[in-house]
Amino acid sequence: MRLVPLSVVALAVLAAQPARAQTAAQLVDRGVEAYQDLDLGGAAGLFRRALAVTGTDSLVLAGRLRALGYLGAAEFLRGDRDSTVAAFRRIVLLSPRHRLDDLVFPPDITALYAEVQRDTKVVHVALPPIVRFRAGDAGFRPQLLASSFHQIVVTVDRSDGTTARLLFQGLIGDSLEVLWDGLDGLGAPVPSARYVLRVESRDPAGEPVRIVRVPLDVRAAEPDTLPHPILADSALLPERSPEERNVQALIGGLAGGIGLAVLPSLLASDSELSPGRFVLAGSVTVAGVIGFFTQRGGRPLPANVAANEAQRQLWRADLDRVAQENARRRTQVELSIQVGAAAAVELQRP
Amino acid sequence: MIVRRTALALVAFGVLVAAEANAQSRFGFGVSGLIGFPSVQHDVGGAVETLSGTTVGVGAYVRFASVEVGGRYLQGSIDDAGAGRAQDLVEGAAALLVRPVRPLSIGFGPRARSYVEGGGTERWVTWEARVGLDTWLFPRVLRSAIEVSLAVGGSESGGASIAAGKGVEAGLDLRIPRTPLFLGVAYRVDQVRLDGDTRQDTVEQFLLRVGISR
Repeated sequence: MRLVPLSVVALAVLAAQPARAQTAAQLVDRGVEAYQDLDLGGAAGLFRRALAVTGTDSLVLAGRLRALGYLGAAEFLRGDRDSTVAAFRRIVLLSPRHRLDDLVFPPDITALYAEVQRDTKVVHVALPPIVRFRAGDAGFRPQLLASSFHQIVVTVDRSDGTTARLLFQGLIGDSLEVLWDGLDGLGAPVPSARYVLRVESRDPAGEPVRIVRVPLDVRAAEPDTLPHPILADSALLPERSPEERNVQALIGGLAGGIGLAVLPSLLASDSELSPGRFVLAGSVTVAGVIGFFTQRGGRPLPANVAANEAQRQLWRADLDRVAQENARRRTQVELSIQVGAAAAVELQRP
Repeated sequence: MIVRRTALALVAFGVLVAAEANAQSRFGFGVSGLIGFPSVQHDVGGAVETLSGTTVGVGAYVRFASVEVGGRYLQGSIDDAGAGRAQDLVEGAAALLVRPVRPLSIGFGPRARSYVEGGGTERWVTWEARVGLDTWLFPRVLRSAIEVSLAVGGSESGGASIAAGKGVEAGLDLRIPRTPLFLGVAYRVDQVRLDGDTRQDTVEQFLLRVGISR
């Protein structure tokens, strides 16, 4: 008893899904039929309803382009030029290189579409979701598709808005491939960070009218570098003998003091000499004794000093070699760039 | 006798100079101004006369490796402080020194001393062998030096020969850190006796010096 109503509800839910999925496309088909029957108001309404469907049932790109083309044509035949231009402009924004079918639409409609396409400065950026290459190689190659001939500036910007590298500045026709080797303006590989591929479209006066920003998550895998060689103190020989009292000061002080006090009397024993020399003798002796007790330090060991200097020269040569090798390795950075969804900002409507 | 001692001293000195040929290369020099306070005792046959005064002069040396050439010159006047006698005193000395091992130095050179009085000049010249010790009491700041000299020959301008001569000089040099300047004080006494004990001069003096050295 209870199973019957539940199965009916389940069937109804399952049946509703494909019915809703077909609705947007069916609305377009019905709109085309109405357009061909010259029910232009009804057709426009059906196209707008189809375009308004969101979610998983919404129109795919081809369906949206078809609906917008017919919507523009219907509005054109109804005499509403503004609505026609708006619909055609939406087509250009979705697909800059799209063409209306000359076999389906009359020449005055396709001519208006061409005019809208020419006046709408749009660039689409085509990139694979992930790009891997070695810094220095031109491995990052975004394809730019333009709606019409105009000026563009292509840069790779850092997250703070500063320009890491200017890739292109000039005119684009219908398509262009720009190259980036992963280096910044100074020629160094960019570090891991979030960047933005920025494509700025400009009007004939040079004023920016539209900016497309493509997030780039750059991961720079730096190669392993060699560790700097270390010259351990334990590898060096002692350059002075163990600490010792300054015996030389004591000997010098005593020799000078005693010499001053005694030798003059011995050399000139029969002369009356100045006692002032004893002051100087005492000064020399006291200075020597103080020097003995206050100055410490071993004798230099020249052989060890020379051996250590040779050791240091080898270490410095090794250090230079490692520094050169590391500098070479640092130029071999592997870059992995994850490309995000592009977003466009309109700065000025023509 | 004196000639033989002189020859021996010269030979010994030559050997030492030759031994220094392989010494490490190191250049240095110094120049200083000197003020001396001499006291001269003339002993003529037991009669002692003492004259004292002040002299000024210069000293200099040049050192290459362990070989050093130096000299000094002083002049001034001395008197007997009231008795009315005065002399001009001019003194010069030069020496070639070698340092076979630190702190020892051995040298040889002449010393001349002139007494000028009333237009007459009495000149004493001695050739001295020297042995000295100099050590740093405080490294690169305070240094002491002592030198003993022995006359191995010489003469007096009157024609007499030098019978004996000996002297000693010692002092302290204070270097001003991080400058080439130094200040010094020294005491010197030497005694020279002529042949026949006709005369003996004892010259004692304190020396102050200010200079530069590298």
